[in-house]
Amino acid sequence: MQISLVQGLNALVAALFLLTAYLFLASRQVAGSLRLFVRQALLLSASALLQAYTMHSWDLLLVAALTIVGKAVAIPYLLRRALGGSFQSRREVDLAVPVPTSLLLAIGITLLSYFLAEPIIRSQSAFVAVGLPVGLATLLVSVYALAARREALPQFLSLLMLDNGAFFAGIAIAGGSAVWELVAALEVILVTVIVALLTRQIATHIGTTSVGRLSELREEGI
Amino acid sequence: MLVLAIPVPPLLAALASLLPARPWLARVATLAAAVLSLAAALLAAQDVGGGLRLAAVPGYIGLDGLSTLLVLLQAVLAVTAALYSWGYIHREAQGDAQRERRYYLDMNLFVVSLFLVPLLLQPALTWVAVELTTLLSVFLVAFQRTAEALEAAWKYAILTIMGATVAVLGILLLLFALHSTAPLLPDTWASFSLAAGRMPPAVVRLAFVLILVGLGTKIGLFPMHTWLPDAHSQAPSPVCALLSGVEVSTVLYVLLRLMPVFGAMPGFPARDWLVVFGLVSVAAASFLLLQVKDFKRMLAYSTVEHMGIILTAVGFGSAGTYAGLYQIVTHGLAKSLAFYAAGTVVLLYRTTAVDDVRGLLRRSPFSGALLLLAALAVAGVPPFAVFLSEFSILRSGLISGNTAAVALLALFIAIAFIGVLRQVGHMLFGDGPAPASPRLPRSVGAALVLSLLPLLVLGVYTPPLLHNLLNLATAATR
Repeated sequence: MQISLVQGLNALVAALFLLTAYLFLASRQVAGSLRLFVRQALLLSASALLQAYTMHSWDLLLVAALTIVGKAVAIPYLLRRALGGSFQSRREVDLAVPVPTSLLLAIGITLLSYFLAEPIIRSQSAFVAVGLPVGLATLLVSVYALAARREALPQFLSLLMLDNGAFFAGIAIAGGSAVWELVAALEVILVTVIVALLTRQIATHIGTTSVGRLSELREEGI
Repeated sequence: MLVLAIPVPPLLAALASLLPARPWLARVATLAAAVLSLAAALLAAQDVGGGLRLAAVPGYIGLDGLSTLLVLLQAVLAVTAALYSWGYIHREAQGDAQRERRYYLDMNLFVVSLFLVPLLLQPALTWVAVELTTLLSVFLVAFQRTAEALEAAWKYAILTIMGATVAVLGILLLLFALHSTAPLLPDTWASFSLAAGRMPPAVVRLAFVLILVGLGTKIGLFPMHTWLPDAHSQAPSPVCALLSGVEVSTVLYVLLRLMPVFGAMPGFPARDWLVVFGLVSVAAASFLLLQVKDFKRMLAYSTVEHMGIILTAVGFGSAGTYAGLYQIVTHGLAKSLAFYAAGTVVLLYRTTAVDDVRGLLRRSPFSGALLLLAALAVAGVPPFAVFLSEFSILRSGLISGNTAAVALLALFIAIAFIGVLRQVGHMLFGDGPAPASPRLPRSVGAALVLSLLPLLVLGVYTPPLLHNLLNLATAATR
């Protein structure tokens, strides 16, 4: 199959997209993790733009615009506004698993994603062949990142990255269907507002956002 | 129009709760809205049960047998929860009118989001509604604002949103498969049924895994259930009734909607996987029920158990699905009654620890008797309706040849039965301290009696309308 320039660029964007997920696993500061998330969202919209250009799809153009406005501007703004203090701290994020082990696992997860996606992408366009495995790998790596973090904000940033992964695969396979993309973009902002409010309540009432230390709810002997 | 009359009243009640008036306005509005929604749902059920399909906005909003069944259950629980909240939340808010109004605002919005899941006809939009059910109930779970409640709300939000986001990729994969097999069909649930069996198997398989794990997290299946006992025990009792009684079943509904696609894959035993997943959940929950020390957590684990039973039932095929759908109804009624009864104990003793309550039957005969009846109903003792549905599930399993699964299921149900009744027995009998505040609000008592009646009736008699809806719903999952 002949690979066009746009498809080549898209593959480069996808590689960088996956790389930000790896860097996120290695990142030990909240402000740095947020910057990585913003960069990843920009890469997501770059991929949407490239596909919009190839397929002449206005829907995908809208998705790209919404991603920039929602994820690269509104979400960081909302989080900084609601929880300013937590981003300034230079304190290191408490990780349950050492970074090198995490990265090895992430590589394993990526291989697994390619294995799972392989029978699907065999007869598909280059965009699907790149988007689905990379999106799936980012999604699964983010699930792992969430499990390995013990504090509220890093957990939430993992969740946002998970959303990026689902979208990255989503725009490649489902293309644009404007209604749902619009609602989903608004929905992730609502998620951010609610989680930010909840985090603030936790900080005011308990004095810490380290949810690892919140362990009142447990069965004895388990 | 009838279909829209279901979600609109609670939406208006939510607006009324925003008014800076006395909190009684919010209480009246919430109860009135719930009754109106139930009336609309009953009228719609008459039409749907008679073989009509209702469409408010064709291709976007409508009702069929499966969704009507769920909407009816949601509407019934919305009424009892509104009635129960009247006295319960007034006491819990301790005179803070703003907090009480805020509660009613959140609760009405939560009920709207629950109604939206079955009403929406497009998978992607249904998914958004599922997300909304989480987002709009987070602050209901955190209502007490204690460290425990906030921790529960956090786990609830993060884990269930994570699950939903994993599931959305599965739904997008199915849409991708739909577009590649039948590009002209609209993106609706009905199109999935039409194209089922022709979609590329590799895509459907990956979608099945993502959706089962993703939605399974929000349904509370083992081992993704960890948030459920926390959230379903820390919320105020009427919210627990909605969360355990109907929210988890609402997510299960989405999985049932996809059964035509998953069940039709040649060479892919989707139903067997449901049996395995279901049995694992029932097993884990039944053993956890034996050692739990908190009676609201006990009811939450019982929800994990029941979701497992229903999933197993769906795995048994058509007859099993009919019984499983019936179990969704009976479990919703029984579990809400159980949480209402548990709530009276909280009001009386200000505790949720099993060890702190003794001699409840003697100290407060009304609360004790209802807790006993609720425990018997949840555990599946005749003449309560849960017995009937569980019995049909076991029978359907035997008929479909799943003897080993039925034997295991019966064993775990028996263990769970012992777990629940032992804990409740501890609380009911013996001799213990007198309750801190002996009087219960009148609306709480009324809600309890109102929830008990349908359980007793359905235990001995299945109304033709319900039977029709169950048949239509079973057909929709084929």
